[in-house]
Amino acid sequence: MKYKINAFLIYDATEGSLKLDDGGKSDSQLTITANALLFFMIQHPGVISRDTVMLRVWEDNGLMSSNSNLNQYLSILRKAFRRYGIENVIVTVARGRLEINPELALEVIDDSLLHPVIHASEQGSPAEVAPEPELVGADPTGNDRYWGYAGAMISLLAIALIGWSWSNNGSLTPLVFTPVAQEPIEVLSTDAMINPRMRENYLKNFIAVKEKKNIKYDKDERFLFFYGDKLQSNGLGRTFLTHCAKHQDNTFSYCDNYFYYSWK
Amino acid sequence: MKTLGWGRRLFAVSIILLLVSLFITVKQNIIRRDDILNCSTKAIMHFEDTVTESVNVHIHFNFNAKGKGSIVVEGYSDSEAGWLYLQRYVQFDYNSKRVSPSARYYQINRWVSSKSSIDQSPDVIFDYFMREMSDSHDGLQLAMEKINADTVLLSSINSPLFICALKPGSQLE
Repeated sequence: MKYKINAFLIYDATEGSLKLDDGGKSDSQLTITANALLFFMIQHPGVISRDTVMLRVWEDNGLMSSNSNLNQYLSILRKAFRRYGIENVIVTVARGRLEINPELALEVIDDSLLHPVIHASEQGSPAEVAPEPELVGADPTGNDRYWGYAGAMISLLAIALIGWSWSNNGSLTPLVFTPVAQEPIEVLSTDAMINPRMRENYLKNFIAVKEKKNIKYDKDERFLFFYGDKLQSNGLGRTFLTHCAKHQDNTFSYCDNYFYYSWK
Repeated sequence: MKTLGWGRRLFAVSIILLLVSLFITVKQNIIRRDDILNCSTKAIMHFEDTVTESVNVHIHFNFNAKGKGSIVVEGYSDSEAGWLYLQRYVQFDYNSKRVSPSARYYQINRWVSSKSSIDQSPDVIFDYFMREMSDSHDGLQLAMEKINADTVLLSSINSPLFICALKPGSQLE
């Protein structure tokens, strides 16, 4: 949509440009928000509250509004028009309200194109959806926020994936054995194997199994013992006892593994 | 000058981060599958009737490359049929995964066993032996935990089963 302002300045709302008929020497390009603000004010002549302006130009387009933001863009527009000899393109009226300067002569010279920002919110027709706004400088857009959210979620996923890979990387951590008895027999277990409920009877059961199997032991030999909790395994009480002899540096070099499906 | 907003920049960085993390994950879990396990052990196992149903066997586990493996069981079984020679060969397909910093699971999905011509031991005794490694469904599952550079502990879902001495060819992490 194009306007001729005061019969000499061409305002192209689609491009967000201000032009004189001088071969482009005096063209100005407005930022998206400044353009949206100007177009909204032209489309809504008369006094209008600042809240309405902020709502329609910023909030309805997914942007965060503030009075300082509005003041900044009013200043940008006034400065842009001052370059063409137009003072106060938007005037402030009593009680902080705004109005497109009623002294401006506005003439529509081309109404075929729609403004990329305002019409998307005003009409919502699929054919009139604004193109993806490009950011100018640090000008924020609502869509950018959603890109940020998506990026943050993907980053968290990637970090979790790296963490998972990292935890599964490298050598397996060797088992840490807990000595249950050391003299005269070295009996080992792990924290996972010693059921707290069975801890009291642990050594007694170990000796029972060892004697049942008539296992003799010697120096540099050791035992690893597991006794299942009958209360937690349907009364089965699986029992595992391994008897290992040392060879060179490996204290588990030769092992006989004894297993009872159900220790009675 | 037109620049990308912070949201788009974060999105672009996150995509790069995701690609890097996927590359690392694939490299570590598919390309570098350090799960070849060859070990042997000796076991004396008592089953349902702890007096008359037992095996005294040497066992050789082979979890080889490409998800193929075998178990060789050789020794004697004791049952109502008496003290009889047992020699079985189990072939299986498996997959493995690291489940914690200290453990790797070997999941056996399909297995078939065959007995040698001199094996006269009852099948039920051998079934007891195999089913002690059951994953509680149709497959088998063994958890492998490293004891030291030469030895691992193999456990079922119910109990530790074997301390197994590694043989040449194992490629554990």
